Amino acid sequence: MKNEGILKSNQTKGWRMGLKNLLDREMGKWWQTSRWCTQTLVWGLITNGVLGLLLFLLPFLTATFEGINQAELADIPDGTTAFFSLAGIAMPIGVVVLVQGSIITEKELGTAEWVLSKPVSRSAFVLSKLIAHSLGFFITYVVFQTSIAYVMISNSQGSPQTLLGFIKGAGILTLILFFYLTLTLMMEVLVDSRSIVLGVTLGAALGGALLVNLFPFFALITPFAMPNLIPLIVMETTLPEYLIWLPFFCTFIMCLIFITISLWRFNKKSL
Amino acid sequence: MNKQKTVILTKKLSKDFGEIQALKGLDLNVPEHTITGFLGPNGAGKSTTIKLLLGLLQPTKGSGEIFGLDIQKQSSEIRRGVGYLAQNPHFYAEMTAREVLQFSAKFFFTGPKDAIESRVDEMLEMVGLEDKSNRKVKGFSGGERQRLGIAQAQINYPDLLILDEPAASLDPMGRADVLNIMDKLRDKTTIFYSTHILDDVQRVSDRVVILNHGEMIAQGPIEELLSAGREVVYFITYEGDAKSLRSKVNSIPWISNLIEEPFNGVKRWRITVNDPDLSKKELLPLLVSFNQITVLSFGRKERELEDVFMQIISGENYEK
Repeated sequence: MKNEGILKSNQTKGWRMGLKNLLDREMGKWWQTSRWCTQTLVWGLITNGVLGLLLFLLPFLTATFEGINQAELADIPDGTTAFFSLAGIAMPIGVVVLVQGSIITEKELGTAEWVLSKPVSRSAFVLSKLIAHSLGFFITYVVFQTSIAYVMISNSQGSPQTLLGFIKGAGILTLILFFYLTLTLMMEVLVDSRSIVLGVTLGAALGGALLVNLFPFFALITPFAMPNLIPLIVMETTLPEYLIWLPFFCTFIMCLIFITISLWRFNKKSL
Repeated sequence: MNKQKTVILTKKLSKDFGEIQALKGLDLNVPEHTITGFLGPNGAGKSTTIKLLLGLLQPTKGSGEIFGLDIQKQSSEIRRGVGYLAQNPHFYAEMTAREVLQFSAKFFFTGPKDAIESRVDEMLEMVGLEDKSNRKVKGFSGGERQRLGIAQAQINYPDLLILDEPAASLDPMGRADVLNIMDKLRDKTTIFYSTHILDDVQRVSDRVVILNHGEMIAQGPIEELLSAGREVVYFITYEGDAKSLRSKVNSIPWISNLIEEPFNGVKRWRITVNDPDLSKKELLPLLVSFNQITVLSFGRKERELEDVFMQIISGENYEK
């Protein structure tokens, strides 16, 4: 047997068993393929593309063509509101679409069975996906897009925006996306049907605002009203403290609950 | 005297899927350095047993040990010393064969990259995939995937190799390849493999375990199973009307079983006898004395695994 003296047995124990190897693969799927580039471009076009139209094309059209109703222009949101509202509503859909199937497909194809027949903890299997996706979405969705938006808005207004406000906005956007990521992963573990996963997660992403309209109380305990809240925070509007911290805290707790359920259930799942 | 160590030991291991009892109180005992064929028809519970051993399923009742470690509580530790090939192995399609093996190796080892590469090369050579090492797995044939499956299962030089139907979907060449590889590994590891191809079992295995409807119905060394009952099988082909002869033959006490089957355009009897000496003297004279049939061929065959298996599975004349 060659190599016996050189190769050392991997002695990682507990939930970290196999995590590094699995994480390398999941990270590779984000950063060693075209995924990061595609996601950055797509979400750049959707969020900053719309922002660009609003900031640069609309004033140009207004100045060029006469007869545009100024009252109608007053209804168009400012750049910060437009960007964060759009990102807060549309990006969760991107998260759900990209994450759905990540566990169910592996179970169906038998690759989960293959990997988990190695010295790998089941927690590591779920956590590798959670960590890699969190980082992937954070960089391509939040950091890239918010930075571009910050530059564009500052440029259009002729002076830098409050950086702290933008960082807070990016933080809340991150939490919204993390909520949908953990919810989708939990659904992937709980059920074996993609349509149920999509139904629940997209239902939350698209129907959440409706729920808040019907029952305003949900604005305080869910992330569903957060997209409307971000611009106010970014622009440092004075708001009651509980309106900021309560949904933030509740959403964070829900994310932890989703992760706990995912790990607990996946550790008992039949493959 | 050297007592052989037990690698797999289960006690009343059971698994229910809702109302269905997939496995009913399995008491399995697999000694070290043996090749054990795990036999049973489709749906007998072979894959369920294997998944229970690997911790991929949780038992409903009972317990099990591999290397003396509990299959429920110490599953991750057990898997450090086990290699596993699934029934239809699937790997990440975007990976090449080399990448699959590198990925597998990193679960077991840390060390210099060239040392891992050297192990990967050794495995590729063992299964004859050196020239396809940089091809994506998604383009592999069933046989190539199976060979890669064996390579990744063997990457850690496991003390126990568990193979679920390793030759099931392969053509005769592919089957021969897989059996040759198993034969090569005979001295290095304990092999526990499920199959329903009886010829393969007789060719490479030392021991067999037979499972049917989730219950174990036989377990032991092949020779022991084949010699049990001193039974011998005769094959007779004939022409003519054998109805009355058949009932006469069936009533003879030393004949355990008579099966009539078509064979190359004529009829063939497969007669199992429990008194080889008496049958040697009396069976052929009895058949030729009956003038309504013409005996075309008459042959005696030692019991083969297939005969034992068929007899056990059909529950004919079998004492547990």
